[in-house]
Formats: sequence, structure tokens, C-alpha cells
Amino acid sequence: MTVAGRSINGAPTALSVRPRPNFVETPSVRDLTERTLAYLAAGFPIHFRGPAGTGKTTLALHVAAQLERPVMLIAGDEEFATSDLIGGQYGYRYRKVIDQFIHSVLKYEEDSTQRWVDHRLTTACREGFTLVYDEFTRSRPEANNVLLGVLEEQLLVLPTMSREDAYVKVHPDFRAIFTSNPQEYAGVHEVQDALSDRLVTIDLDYYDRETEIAITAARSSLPPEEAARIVDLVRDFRASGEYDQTPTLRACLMIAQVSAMQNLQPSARDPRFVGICLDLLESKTSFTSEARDRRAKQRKMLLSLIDHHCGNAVKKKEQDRDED
Amino acid sequence: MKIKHTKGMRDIPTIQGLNSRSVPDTRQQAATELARLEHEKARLERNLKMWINNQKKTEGRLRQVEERLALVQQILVLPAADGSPKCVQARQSLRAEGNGGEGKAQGWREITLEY
Repeated sequence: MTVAGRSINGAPTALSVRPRPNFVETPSVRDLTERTLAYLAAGFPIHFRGPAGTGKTTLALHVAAQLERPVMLIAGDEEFATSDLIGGQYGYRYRKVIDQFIHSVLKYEEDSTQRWVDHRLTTACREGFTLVYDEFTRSRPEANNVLLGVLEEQLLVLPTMSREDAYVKVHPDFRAIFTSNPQEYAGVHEVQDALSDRLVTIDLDYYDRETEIAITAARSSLPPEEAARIVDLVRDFRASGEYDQTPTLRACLMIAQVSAMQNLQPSARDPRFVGICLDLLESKTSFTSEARDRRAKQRKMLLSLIDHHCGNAVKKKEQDRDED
Repeated sequence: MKIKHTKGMRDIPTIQGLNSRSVPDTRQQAATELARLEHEKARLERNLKMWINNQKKTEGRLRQVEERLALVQQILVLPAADGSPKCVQARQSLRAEGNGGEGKAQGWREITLEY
């Protein structure tokens, strides 16, 4: 069990991040990683910004893994306060001394002091870990104020009542990587200009077709040509704009992984595969009584897309096989 | 009647001794002596408890010392299979444990996360 980056036995808990065996590193991912590492090496914190499903968190962890330092992962939250980042007073340390060195003399002392517990930011600054602050704009801006000093003056200022070392000099190996959604997303706050100004912001968009196919094939163990059909289907749906929530690479992975587990071929003639596609893609439109006509049109479009990407190709392949 | 012989200074009757050993005559004397004796009893019980605790602690410490003694004797007496002294082996095994994870050596716990 861990409490805010500190295990119950008192030692801080850090993450050791490493890629999955089927992690895909295409040239575009490699290029992005190298650019990011160059900024980090120069001492600048990185901020990956982009819509959901663009691989911000995975890229942040991948970059952190290249730094070969333990990682402190924090996920932004509306309820976050500064103390959730730096730590606070939790409980009391109680001390009682009974001295009977001379048996007829009883010396009795009792005192209690408040116990300070470092949280993840403090531990990362003190030990030189890599901080990955995921979706940091989900925390209220004032909770992140403490980061200003850490990123600029390399000094973490703790409450004076906390402990003797109220100022923590940031370890030279400390690096920070932030991720966030653009501001129009639900449940996010604006970034303070002062914090934004200290970050090197890299905008991420959806991956290119080749990367999406490679990731889908690797994570689902489908052959690349079958993964390509699913990716093309989702990408075409994304390009149509007929949705409320953008279909991302996650939709490709879900369709591909379920199909692979059920031993389904991505074929428009398989009603089970079509059902999976409709389940996962139709839900990208809001479900209201007014949108009924729109949903009917969207279903028609999805069926034609499935037929286009997974119908003719399969037929053609089967025809080629018959001819052979 | 048994004749009591005086063996030392302790047995010489004194005014104070006669007072303290004699049966209290009045209620006030009895109450005073009762209070004194209860205090004395509590003191002796504390003393006894302390001695028992001390005995237990000493026995524990003795056991630890004996175990450590046996270990050190083993290192000194038994030659290692590869010719190197046992203490070197022990140090090597400790170092090998430390290399298991940087965290262990540095005093933090590490959890592996695959992305």
C-alpha cells in the first residue's frame, strides 16, 4: 500500500518505467522523443499538449524511461491542493521516556511533534527523480503555484512550520514532463501564464497512418494488413467529422484486440465484427432523442465505411486465393 | 523459652527498633504503619519487576551475542570453497543484493510500470 508516493513502511515509492515488449517506435515517435530529450537535457520542462488518444501519457513515460531515473507519476485532479504535491503534516510523533537508571529515581518525559510526510513533488525534487504530471490542467491553477519556483529558481519552498529544511534545493537530475488536454475539454482549467511560460510546449496530433497501423498490429497481434483495414476505417470516420467525440487510436485498439481474441477477421460479411465496430464507433455521437435522425445517418455511413474497408478487400483477397 | 543470642549490631535493640517492631498500640499508629508498609511493598514490587525485566533483556542480549559469536567463529574457522574468506563472500552477496535495484540501495521502493 502506498500513500502519496510513500509506502506504508516509510520509504518513498517510485516507478521504474519500461516499454512493453510490443512497444512501437516509428521514426516519427523517435524524432519526437529525441527532440524532447534535447530540451530536457538543457534543463527545460516539457509539456505535451493534445486531444485525447494522441499518446501524450505514453510518450511522456517513454521519454521518462530514456532518462533512466525513477519516475514520480502524478495525475491532475480538481481536488488537488498544494499539500497533495509537496506533502503535509500527517499525524503526530509521540515520544515517552521513562528513565529508571537509578531505581529509586523516576525520570519521566513526554512530548509529541507533528509528523511531516513528503509527497511526490518533494521526493522527486529531493532525490532527482523524473516527475510526470499527467493532465496537470485538471488541477486548479493555484495548486500548481509551487511549481513556479521549482522550475525557475530550482528551489522548492515548503511551509516554514513543516520541518527544519523549509527550502529544498532541487536535485540536478530532477526533470519534469507535463501533459494536458487543450482548454476546450471538459474538466480542465486554464494554465497560468507564468507556468506556461516556463514550459516547452509540444502540440501532439493523431499519429500518422503507418504508426497507427504498427501500434494496432503490435498491440492486438493481428496481421498488419488486417490492422490496416481497421485503422483506415477509424481514420475515415475521424475525417468525416460526423461525431461528438473524436474516434482515436484507442478505438482501433479496442476493435482489433476484441476481434483478435474472438478470432474474427475484419470483414464486412461477419456480423459479429460489424457489431463490434458499430458498438465502438456509434457511441462517439451523443445519445439524445433529437439526434435520432443523425444517428441513423451515421450508422448508414459507418456501414458503408465498413463495407468499403473490410468488404471489397476481403472479397478480393478470397478471389485471389481461389485463383491461386 | 528460646534464648535469642545477639549476633551483630543489627540485633541490638534500639529505641527506634523497638518502636518499629512492636505491635502498634493505637489506631493512628496502625494507620501510619500500614501506609508505610504499603509504600515499601510497592517499592519492592517495582524493584522486582525491574530486576525481572533486566534479566529478560540481558538474556536476550546474551542470545544475540552468542549467535553473532557463532557466525564470526564460523567465518574464521571454516575455509570457503573458492578459497576466499567467508567475510569476502558475505560482502559480495550483500553487494549482489544491492545491485538488484538502484532503489533498494538508495532507500526507496520501486514499482515497475510498463507503457
